[in-house]
Amino acid sequence: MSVSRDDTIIAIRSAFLKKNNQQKFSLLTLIVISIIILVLNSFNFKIINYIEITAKEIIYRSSSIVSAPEKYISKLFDLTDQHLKIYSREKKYENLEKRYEVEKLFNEYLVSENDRLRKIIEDENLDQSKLIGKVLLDKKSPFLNSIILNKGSRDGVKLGKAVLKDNLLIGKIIELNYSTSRAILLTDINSKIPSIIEPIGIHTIVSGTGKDLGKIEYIEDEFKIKLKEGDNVYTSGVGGIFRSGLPIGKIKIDQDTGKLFVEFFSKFSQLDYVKIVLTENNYNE
Amino acid sequence: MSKSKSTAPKNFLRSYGPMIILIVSVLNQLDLNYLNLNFSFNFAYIFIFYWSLKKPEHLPFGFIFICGIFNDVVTSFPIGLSSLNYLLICVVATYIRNITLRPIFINDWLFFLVTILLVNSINFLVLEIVMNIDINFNVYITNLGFTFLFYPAFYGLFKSLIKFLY
Repeated sequence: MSVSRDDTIIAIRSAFLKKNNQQKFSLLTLIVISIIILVLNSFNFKIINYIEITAKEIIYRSSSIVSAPEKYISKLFDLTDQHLKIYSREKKYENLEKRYEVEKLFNEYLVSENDRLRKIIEDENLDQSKLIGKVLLDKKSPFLNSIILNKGSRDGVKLGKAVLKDNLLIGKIIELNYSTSRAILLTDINSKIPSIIEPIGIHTIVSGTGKDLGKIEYIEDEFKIKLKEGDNVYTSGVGGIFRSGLPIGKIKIDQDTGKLFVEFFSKFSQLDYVKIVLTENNYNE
Repeated sequence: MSKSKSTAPKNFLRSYGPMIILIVSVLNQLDLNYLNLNFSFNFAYIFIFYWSLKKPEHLPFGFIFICGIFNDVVTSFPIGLSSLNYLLICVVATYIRNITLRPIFINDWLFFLVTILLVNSINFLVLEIVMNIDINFNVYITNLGFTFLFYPAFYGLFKSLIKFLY
């Protein structure tokens, strides 16, 4: 036990006092010096103050030089951080740009759609007698030429109402649903429109052929010879279904057979928006 | 010829490497502050303890004393306080060295904890009671904790360095 205590004492003493090859001062000496400096410092000794001031002058400069690499590393960290932030921001902007492109395209579509709608309206103040309908489906086949519109009975659409495109007759409503309706086009073989051929004023029926041309169903021979190619065909208003004077097309005479055809004013392809005439008042205008 | 050229820098590092590291760490206040971490640790404590324990002949006590003075100036502590702390660490390290026949890492680590507790206590007492300087106790404790926790990492690092240099 006493041996162990002696060993400890020896070890402590050795730690404090022993000087190795490279050590010029013992730890005890240095500790004592430190304590003396501390005590003198606490009493604000002038010598210590001078030493402190001198040391500060030297050390601050040395410290700024020595800390240059750390500052550089710190700067590098900041730079990397900034770089990463810029990168993430750039990514964000890239996504935003994509979104912006999509929005731009959508806006362009809206603008063109607006222009198209404006053209349809033709700066005309739509009264309650007319309704703009969007063509949902464009069913065209040799047997059926019709369009499905997004307006139905809830919008006041009724069977037999005229459907116009650029104020030119293109068909009539033949099927009515709550929110949709079907309009038969003039080109459909089932389409029969009471018409008048101007300027001679001959009443007739224009029917579809399933193709781009319509045909004159019935006409007296005595009037037939009076007709010229290019005579205009309008709705006659007979039967009270359509109002009179809606332009339909112009006469085209087959030179071989002498048959009369109607070249419609309207183009039936690319129908997107149409007008539906609602009130019967208009028919008698 | 080429061999002597290649060993010259190594000899220089062998002789002055530890001293350069200590002075740089003291002047630079090496504590990984640039990582913007919410903690700090005392690299000088780890370094002095390790080198006093393993290779005291390459880190003179006089130099440690001067480094302490430098540290006090940089941190604006009362002159002599860091020197006292550093030298106390040297005392403990030398004592452990004297009593240890076969060094074990865990023993070193635990002794290091005791040492920094002792040193920080003295530091605290001198600053608060003798010098009447207010210090943030939490910061002190955090610093102490992280200094203790970082010891194994630096232990491995310094071990490799010693292997490389000597």
